[in-house]
Order: sequence, then structure tokens, then C-alpha cells
Amino acid sequence: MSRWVGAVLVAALVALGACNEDGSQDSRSDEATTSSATAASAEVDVTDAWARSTAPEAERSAVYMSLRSDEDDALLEASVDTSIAGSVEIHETTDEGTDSMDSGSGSGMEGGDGGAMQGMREVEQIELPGGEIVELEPGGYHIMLVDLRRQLTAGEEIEVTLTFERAGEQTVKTEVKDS
Amino acid sequence: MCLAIAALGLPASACDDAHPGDRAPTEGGLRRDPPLEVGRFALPDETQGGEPFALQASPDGYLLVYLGYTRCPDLCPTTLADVRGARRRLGDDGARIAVAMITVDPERDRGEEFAEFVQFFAPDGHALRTDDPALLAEVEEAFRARAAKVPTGDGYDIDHTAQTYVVDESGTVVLEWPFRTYPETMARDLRALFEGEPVGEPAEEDGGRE
Repeated sequence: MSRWVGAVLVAALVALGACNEDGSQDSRSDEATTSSATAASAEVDVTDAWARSTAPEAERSAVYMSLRSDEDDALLEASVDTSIAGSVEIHETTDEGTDSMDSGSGSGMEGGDGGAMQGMREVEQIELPGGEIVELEPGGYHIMLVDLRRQLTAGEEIEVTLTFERAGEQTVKTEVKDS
Repeated sequence: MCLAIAALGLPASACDDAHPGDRAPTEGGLRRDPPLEVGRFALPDETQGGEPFALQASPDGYLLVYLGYTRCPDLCPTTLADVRGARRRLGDDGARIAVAMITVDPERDRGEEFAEFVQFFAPDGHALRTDDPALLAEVEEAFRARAAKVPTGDGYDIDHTAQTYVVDESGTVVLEWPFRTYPETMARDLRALFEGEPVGEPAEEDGGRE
């Protein structure tokens, strides 16, 4: 469905009394535009976005954040300026490891074994169930910056543009941190 | 969600996510009986032009060893950052802790670039790399670690166990920290080791950590 139609439907729902937590109605419903910068459907709350600082010649890094959407939504992709990285992917670090190994046993040690195999898999999207906080954090979901074009230094700020299925695009100021 | 469950001290298996990042802040190291012995290995150190570096700590100190690779964006930098944080928390005693990373991706991790990666997290760290696949396999086995290439669209990633090993001056692994052991907990465990106090929980036979 086009964003315009979606916007009208959301505006209608809001008019029917779907309120924010503090009881106020979302005035953004009036901005029924097709601009991707001010998506008419509810914005996704993005907090604590940070990117990990890197060694000088590092090729990859990770971006983490907390996401919360009032409605069901999904993070579809992310991007950064090409002066920072050649491409951006969404990944999940998991305990499952590779099928060929004795994995899937959970973290911790087995007799003679050295802990669970851990690896990451690219994911198509990250589901954001309405009202829930979804964390992108070390050991879990992360936005992976691939083919880094320069070092990321703690203290600097970069911009990461997120594309959500319903909320559209949002650009997030992301602080580079050591940890 | 998972963090809340972990904070209650419940086993990570109580979580429905399969993320390895869910340790409680106070969950510390694990020890094996009998312990692993790795002191017989010496690997070329890229921070020293390839001079061999033996997997043993200096007297009165400990050597933290991590097996990983530099293209790893999440597990490896996170662990090395945690190790860096732990050493900082030890103040002057941080100097008694040496750091070595063994690359499980010797094809791509090499030379000055690999050395710089490790030294970004530990300026005096050791970047260990061997061209000899049999030797690397032996070292991994000695740590009970595993690594496997996973093909991707434009190359490969490496799945691997992500423990950090605490090695003493005789080359004995006295403690292991699973991925996402908090820096303050690593520091707590190291202080206990310095004091000669009991530290760590026994590794379980059935694969669970308790």
C-alpha cells in the first residue's frame, strides 16, 4: 500500500483515539505528507545509538542501539555515507554456530569442549513488535559497517540512516565509543 | 527480556533468544579440572616481526589469550574492549596482565595491520599468527576452541568459540571467561587470582554453565 494511503489510515486511527502513553494525541498525524523525512506513520524511537571505535586499518565495525515502535514495524536496512563504509548490513550474532560442528549446545562448556561456536548471520530485517524495546547490542543484533573507508575514533559522531517498513527513513546521530 | 533474565542470575538457556551476549554482570570465570596446558606453544608475534611468543605469562602476572579474527565486527572487538576495560580497572596491576590474540584467520590477518588491530585494544598486546594450519589446529585443540569458515557472498566469515583464557606463568589455563563477561567481573576475578583466593566456577559436564 502506498505511504499516502497508509498515512490516511493512521491519521484516521489517531483521530479515533489512539493516544501516546502520556495521553496526548500524536499531532504528527496531521502531517500527511509523502516526504520520507517526516513519515506520517509513527516514528520509531531510536535511543543510545553508538558505533564501536576501530583500529586504523579495520575493515568492519558495528553499530548498536535501542529501538521502539508504537506499532508493529521492522528495520529493513541501514546506510551510512560512503566516505565511512562501502556497505552496511544487518546481522545477528548467535550461539548456533556452524552446522558442521557440535554446536547448538548453548553457552558454557561441555566436557572437553570449549564453549559454543558463535557466529553471525545476515538478517533480512529486524522485527519491531509494537510497544516493545528491541536492542541491537554486542552479542545480538547489530548493524555491520562493511568495507570501512576510514578509522572510527571515539568521540566523533556519524550519521546512520535507518529504513523502517512503516516509518520510512530516519537518520540517527550515532556516537563513536570505545565500549 | 534476555538482559532482565540474565540479571536475575538465571541461566542463559532460560532466554528464548539464542544470543551469546546475555551474561549477568557478576557471572565470572570457569575453571577446568584438569586444567588446559598451553605453555608448550610459541607462535610468531606480528608485533615483534614474527619472533616467537610463548603462551605463558610473566612471573607474577597473567596472560589473557583470545582466539578470533579482525574482520569480526561484534564478538572480537567486544571481547577485546572488555579486556581493555578490565585492565584499566586494575590500575597499576593492569601492567601485570599481558594480552595475546591468536588469529583464526591467518590468510587475511597478517603483518603490521594485524599487529595494529591488537594494539588498538592493548598497546603492548601480542598479535599471534601462524601460517601452519596443523599448528593452528593443535593450538585450537589445546584450548578446546574451534573455528570454521562460513562462506558469504563476497568471501567468508568465521564462526568460532569466543572464550578468553587466563594463562599463568607455567602455561596453565587457570580460568576461562565466556563471551560477554563484564570488564568489572574480569577485574574482580583477576584481583582474586592475585590474592590467591578461590576464583571461578567449575565447568559443567553437561554443557550448562551454572
